[in-house]
Amino acid sequence: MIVSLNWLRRYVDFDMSARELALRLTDSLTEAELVDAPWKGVTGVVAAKVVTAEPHPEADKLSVCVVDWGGGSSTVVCGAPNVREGLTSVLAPPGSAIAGGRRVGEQTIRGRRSHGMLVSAQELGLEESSEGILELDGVEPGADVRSLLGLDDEIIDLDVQPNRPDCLGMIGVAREVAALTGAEFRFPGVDLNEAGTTAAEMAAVEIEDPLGCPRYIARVISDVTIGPSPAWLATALRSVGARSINSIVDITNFVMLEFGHPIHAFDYDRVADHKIIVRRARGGEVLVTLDDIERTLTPEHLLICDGKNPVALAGVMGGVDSEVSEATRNILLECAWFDPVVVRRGAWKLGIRTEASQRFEHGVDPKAMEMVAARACSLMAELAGGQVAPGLIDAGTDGGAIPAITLDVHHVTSMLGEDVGRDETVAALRSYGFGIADGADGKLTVDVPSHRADVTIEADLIEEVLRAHGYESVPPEVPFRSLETSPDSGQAARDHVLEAMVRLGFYEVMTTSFMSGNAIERLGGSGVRGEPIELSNPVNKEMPFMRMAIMPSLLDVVRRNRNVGEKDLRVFELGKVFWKDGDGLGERWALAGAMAGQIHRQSWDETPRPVDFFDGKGILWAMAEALDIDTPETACYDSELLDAGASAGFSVRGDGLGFFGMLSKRVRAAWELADPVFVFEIDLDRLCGLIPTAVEFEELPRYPKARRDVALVVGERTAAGDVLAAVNALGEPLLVDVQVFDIYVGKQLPPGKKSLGFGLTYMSRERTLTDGEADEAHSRIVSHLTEKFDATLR
Amino acid sequence: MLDRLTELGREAKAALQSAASVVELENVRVKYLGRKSEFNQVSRGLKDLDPDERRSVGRAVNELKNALGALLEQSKERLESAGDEPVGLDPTLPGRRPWVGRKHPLTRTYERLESIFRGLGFEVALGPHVEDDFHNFDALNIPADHPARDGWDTFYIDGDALLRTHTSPVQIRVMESRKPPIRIIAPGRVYRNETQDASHGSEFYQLEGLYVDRGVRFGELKGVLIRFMKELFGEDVTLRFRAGFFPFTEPSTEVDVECLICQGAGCSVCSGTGWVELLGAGMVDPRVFETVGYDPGEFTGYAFGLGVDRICMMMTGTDDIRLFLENDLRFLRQI
Ligand SMILES: [Zn+2]
Repeated sequence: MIVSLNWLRRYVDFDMSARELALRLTDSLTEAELVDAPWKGVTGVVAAKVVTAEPHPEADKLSVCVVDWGGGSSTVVCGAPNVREGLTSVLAPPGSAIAGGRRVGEQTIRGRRSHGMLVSAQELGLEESSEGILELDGVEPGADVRSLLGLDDEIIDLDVQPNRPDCLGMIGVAREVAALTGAEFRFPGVDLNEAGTTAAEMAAVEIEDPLGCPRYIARVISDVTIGPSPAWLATALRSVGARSINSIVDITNFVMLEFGHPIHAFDYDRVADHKIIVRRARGGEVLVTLDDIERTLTPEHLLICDGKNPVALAGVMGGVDSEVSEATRNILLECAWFDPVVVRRGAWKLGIRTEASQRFEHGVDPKAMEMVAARACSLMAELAGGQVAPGLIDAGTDGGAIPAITLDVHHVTSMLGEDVGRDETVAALRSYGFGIADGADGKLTVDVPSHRADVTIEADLIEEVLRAHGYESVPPEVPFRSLETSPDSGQAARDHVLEAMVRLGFYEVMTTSFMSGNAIERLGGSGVRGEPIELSNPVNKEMPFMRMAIMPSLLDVVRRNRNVGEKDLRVFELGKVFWKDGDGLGERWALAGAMAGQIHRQSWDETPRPVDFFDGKGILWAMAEALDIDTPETACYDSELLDAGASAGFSVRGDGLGFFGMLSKRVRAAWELADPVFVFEIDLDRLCGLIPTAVEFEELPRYPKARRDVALVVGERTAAGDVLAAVNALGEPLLVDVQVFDIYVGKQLPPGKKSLGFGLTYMSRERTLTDGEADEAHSRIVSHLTEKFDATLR
Repeated sequence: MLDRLTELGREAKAALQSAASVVELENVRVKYLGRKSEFNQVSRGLKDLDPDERRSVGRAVNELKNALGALLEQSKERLESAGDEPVGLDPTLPGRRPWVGRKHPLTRTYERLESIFRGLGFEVALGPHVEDDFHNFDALNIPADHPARDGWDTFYIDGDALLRTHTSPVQIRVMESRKPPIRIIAPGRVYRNETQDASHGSEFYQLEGLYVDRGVRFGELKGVLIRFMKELFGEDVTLRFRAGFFPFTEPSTEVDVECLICQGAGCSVCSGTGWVELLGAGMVDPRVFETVGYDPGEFTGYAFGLGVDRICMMMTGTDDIRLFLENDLRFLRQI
């Protein structure tokens, strides 16, 4: 809401700088910003009368004028089409400044000297665009036009919140200013001079949809003369960025901005049967609105109709057919209360939002409608010479009595933590227009003014008291009552994983939760479950889905970084993934990572080598070690995402948690990645479930270990992992560790064979093992393996 | 004879100085100063010389013996203190540095916030990102078709499913599942269907706080937020509490912090006002309590919410919120 301080002064006197007023409103109401008015910097301009205006001898469109500026006369060259003898306009003499502080000087235009210039509304910053120079009827030459044109006005931009529709009108803001300065608030004057035939005899109103339109007031004003508005009215509208059109239209806008209640003027003679019917639109019904657009309507739209046709889209915009024009002589004035939801939906369906619809959406004051209508009638009589028909047509209801609220003064104290006191509480509420009566037990009975429909419960009243008292004034307390806390929601385990990955040299990233259709396809089903969740209104049409896996956006990170020269990277993300299946919508946490580039940082004695499968696998196993998750297993994993020769599943105790491996050529091509990339994605919820929550002390071993090695010659397709698993499965009590220390394929072996070297460590917790005991255990394992894998010893 | 001694001395000195290990030094000692060394033979043969020669050679032998003895000690010290390092090491060459990982700037910011609130007795609660209309709006006193909803540009899925526009629905979920006292923070990603620019993302991070108990007061809300801000920005931070509007708190307040960039003088970060809006807060609206089945006559509480991205930007001077989700390593490394 743009607030003009000159306009505000019509209802309240305050002697406070604009800057201080903005600060005080910000503290007690809502953010108020003092803005630079477009006319800021205008100085030294005066009213001047054109004495003579003659065509410029050297230029068709220019005139050479002598103007009287009160203290003398000057010659100026003027290019405006409306310049003429006898016109009073505004002169910017040499040394003055126009909008933006632009200096005016003397200049020669086609051989004639111009001592300053006659100016337009645009040149003074009063309008964004205007034609011709300003016309000021009845102003004496030399008069100071600063206040007349509002050049001394200051502007505050008020960020009105949805709960305070009253502040979408100057009167609502004025009430706030009165409360915070202690000044008196004045209603604008109304002088109707009703005469002639009564309104009830001249027109009728019928409400067919009382839910959409609970109340409708109509008044009739006859014999108006439509012409330009007086300077004060045009100035007021311009000060808040509205345009002056003609006196009648300007009055409807002015009253809307004054009360925050939109009203509409129909051409009485173009309203068929002089009758207003408020009803829902029929499907497919058509109305051409004031902006000349043909609107096709549905039963969600509320219409104002005359005896024959729709004439306005209720609360949103008038129709062209009943629009007020230069020829209009009689006015049918509408002041209505439309349902906020009906107006909001109707406007939304048509994709329009007007000053009127916005105000109806937020809610208007149904009990102020007589006043609003009377104010408009009074101005039409005063400024357009109209005759106000006696009485008004009032259909519907004003919503009935507003229930009083009981306020327990002690609750103010218990809610704020400060004893504000009964007297201050009462004074605070009175200052905002609430009525107070004492009730039983020191409780107050509070009457809510009709323009404060947002106040419905005791807590709302306490906020009013706090606004008046000052948010800053309440003393801060540092409480501390201790509280038992309950176990956390898995956050600690995820933090543990995060720490582990960072310790392993990975950068944490955070990527978008959205995903493209392409990405789903490229993933080839890896690590996803169910169907994708699609947004009805994505911000980026290319990415309408919730991500089912982190991998696609992680690969975007790899590509983005490679494109800026960051080729060696190790990144991971902990984030949510989403899906839809028979059980509805699902979401869970996932961990994904990628490694690309060189395995080591560049160094003076290390040979560069790109990241490979075992580098990545090592990271995963190290992560498991850091999390105290023992024995992850390598499972088979088939996916188009990964290279067939270097892909595997990550599982623990037979439970598949995810995948890892080298990105396939096809997927690398899709992401424009030339070099090898190791990737993994794991179900984080299940991984976290495997992290032991408690560890138990075990006595440190007191006896030495004995190591025995064995080299088994096996078929070249025998998996080392299977051999290790067989060793572990045997459950030899003395075995404490087994490692692969060598793999050999070559001339010393028969074709189709390879040698696997294992180092096995034996130990007893009870005594020092003898060589014989270690050898015995070792030979049990070796003979089991030779049998199981058809192996020979090398 | 004297010439030969001079020559021997030169050889021995060079050998002692260049010995590269204690063992080598010992060999040098045996060769030049040992019982069977030429030098020893010369000293033993002194008695066979004539007195003049004996005097001059004897003096030379003594001088050389002392000099070599001192040099031997020096070399021994040098080699012993050098330990077992190989010769020719250049300690100014860079070491073999492993890769160092790093948490995302928002994670580090959040951890800072979390540790402050944990210190103030709050625990962490989380909620789903795909929410329903009830928890995201209705239960928070933001009815359908009300202009208050315009404050949240929402991503819709279908039916009443949507992406949460704030972390406030976690308040509702916690209150639905537990009885007071409750003191939680709820961090996490939220979604707004907004055109992105330097200060608006469509995915960003919030942190919500909620405290419900008997007799919780507005003064306590102020106390906690002031304590929090001081821990975060230092004891000198200046705050301003002013009127605000949130449908789910009553009274509501906006909390500004004096611009850390210009110290309140006015700059581009604070749009010349000297203040930066950092927090929204208020006393929980009794209608919210009624929705979750708490008796508003028995319990009161406060809630607050803040933007984690915004705090990180403020603390680091990052001027574009989109950098957080772009994950350019050059950015992640510096912040
Ligand atoms: Zn600043």
